[in-house]
Amino acid sequence: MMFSTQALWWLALPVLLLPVWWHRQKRQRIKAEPLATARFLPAAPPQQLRVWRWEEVILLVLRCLLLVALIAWLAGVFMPWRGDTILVDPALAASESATAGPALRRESNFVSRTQQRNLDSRLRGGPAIRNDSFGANLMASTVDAASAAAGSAENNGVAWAEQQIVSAGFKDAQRLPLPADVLPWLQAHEHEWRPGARLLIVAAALPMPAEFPRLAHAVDIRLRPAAAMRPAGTTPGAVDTASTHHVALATTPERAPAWRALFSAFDAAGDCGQRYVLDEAPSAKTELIVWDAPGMPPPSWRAPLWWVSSNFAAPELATAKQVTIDGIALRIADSARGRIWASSVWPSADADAARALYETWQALSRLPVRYPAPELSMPAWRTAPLAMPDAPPAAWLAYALLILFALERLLTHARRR
Amino acid sequence: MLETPALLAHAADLDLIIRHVLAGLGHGIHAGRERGAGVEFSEYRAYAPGDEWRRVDWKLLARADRYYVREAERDSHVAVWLWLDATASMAEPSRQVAGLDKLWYARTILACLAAIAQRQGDAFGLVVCTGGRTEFTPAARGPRQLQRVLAQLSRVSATGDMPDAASLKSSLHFARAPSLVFAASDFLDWPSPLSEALLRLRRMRHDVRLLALRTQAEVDGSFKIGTGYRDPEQGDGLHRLDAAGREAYRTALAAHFAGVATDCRRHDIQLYQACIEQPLSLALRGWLQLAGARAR
Repeated sequence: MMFSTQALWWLALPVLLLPVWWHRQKRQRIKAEPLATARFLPAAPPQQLRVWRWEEVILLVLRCLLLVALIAWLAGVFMPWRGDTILVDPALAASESATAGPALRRESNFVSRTQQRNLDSRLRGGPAIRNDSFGANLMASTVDAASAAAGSAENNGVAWAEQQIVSAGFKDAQRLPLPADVLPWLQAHEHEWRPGARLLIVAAALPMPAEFPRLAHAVDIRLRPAAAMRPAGTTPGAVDTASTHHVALATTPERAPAWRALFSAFDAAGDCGQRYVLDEAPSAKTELIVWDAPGMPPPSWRAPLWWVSSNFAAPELATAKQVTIDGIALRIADSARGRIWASSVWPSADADAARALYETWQALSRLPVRYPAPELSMPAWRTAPLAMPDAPPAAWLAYALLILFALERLLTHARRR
Repeated sequence: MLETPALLAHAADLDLIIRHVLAGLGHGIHAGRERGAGVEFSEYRAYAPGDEWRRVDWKLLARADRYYVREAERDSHVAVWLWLDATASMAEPSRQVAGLDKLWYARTILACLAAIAQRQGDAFGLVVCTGGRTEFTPAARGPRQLQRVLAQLSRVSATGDMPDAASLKSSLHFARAPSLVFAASDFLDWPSPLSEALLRLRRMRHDVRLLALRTQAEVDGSFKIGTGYRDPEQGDGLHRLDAAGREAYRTALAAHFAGVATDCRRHDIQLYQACIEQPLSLALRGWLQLAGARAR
């Protein structure tokens, strides 16, 4: 069973007629030598002069094979070699250990719907939160650390994966580590699997694509349930250091309690996975500088984002237009210090304003969360893989091409001798 | 050195071959340099009654008190014309000696004749029939003429056909004075424009001497059986030799050359037949002696 990723090249097959034509030329069966006294010899019958015949059959076969190999190489012919395959998320094995690895965090940068609901109910105990999207935004970076925080022996990832593999009937199948973007990867590599092969994806979570690709093989996606991902013993206090955010706060003593209350409210937002540490002066890790004091900050202070009061005398702010985002009137300007948000309303006095500020901040400074894909069984949509113009040609064909070329040259040379 | 025809055939330098071939031949077969009244001093000879008084050297008489007569070399008035047939059929190679063909043999033997003529002080010229035209080198004497003729001979290659009868006939005016014509060809076409031109020369009272060249394989008919052969000058298709045809071939060829010989005898033309495998000096000697025999 062979497939071709660039099938249009097969249209070049009539080129094979050329060597056939060359080797089937009309030749003189009797080779004529010049002879001065030929006129004294009896004349040969003229009908024997020119006949159709095959010449150098081995060379013809070699040349035809060479052309076929060349066309096959251009057409991207390959032999599918993979059978039933399990794609296992390496994050599952990593979650076995007590500490969360960075791989897991990378892979599960999103949460399932059930997790989302859990977090929402948790948030309702804090500031008055009505909108679900607040929780969804919050979850962006909170779930992964929390879910990986602890794992118990009875529900570790490997055991769950084994159980899924057995229940899906993939006991003897080949195992591959889950590639980063598995569904587009499968689409690009689907010609590697034999027709009728099945695939099982066992992962902690998968990003939801805009559209599921229609693959040539049946794909079964098994995702680890959220409950298993998030053990009951996890507390909001168990926070990884990576989710700690440093904020430099420079304010007057009378406004300082309001700012501290605001950031402690941010601590409790979402699933309580984010921790905001307030410092006196900015460091290299500082993400935000709050300048709510009279005068100008030292020129060495740098941060990606500044929140300043409206009487902050930066030249860039003078020309900035007033915009209103989520009900907060802001002037936004980019300066050498960093991006500056100037407003007269902070520190926010009520929970709604605080929530609006938090939402705006998160929405503007963080990437959108990828939506988790559901568990799914996809049937085989086609019997043959799609033509893939970018698929690399098979290496063995290139070697065959090289060997055939060398043989053809050798034989041609030997024939001339 | 240069003992066999094969070795000779591989020597590209005509000058060297001439020196080798003529090594035993001296200054030719007949004494060409007549002494008498001329420009170039040769020797003194004792006065004999009947000598012209103006040829007596008076200064020598004053010194020696004897009569001496100045002898000078007299220039020969016989021009030698070398006629080379360089048509495609002359490219016929020897099937026994590699690198030897009829054209090479004819060219070399004519070069030797040119050298002999130059040594004897005769004027000599060259006529080459090749590629449908005739190339003339006017007759002259001296070593530079020899070099000119040798260069012309080395340049010739065997291509094309004989020029037609009309153009050959119109170009025969070269030999007004009685001259010697040495023509080397294979004479496979007879009668032909070439034969007509030579007979015409003979009728103009020139001394015409022909050298008919053949290869040993042609004489024996020892070609490969089953191979197809074509005539290089006549595109009349393919010929093939089979076992029964060999004898017929020999008969036909012998009859052809018998006809040529009869024709030559009738017109008093010397014909010498040679195989290109035989030594060059032998063929040269045989050709020249044939003419000498008639002279005696």
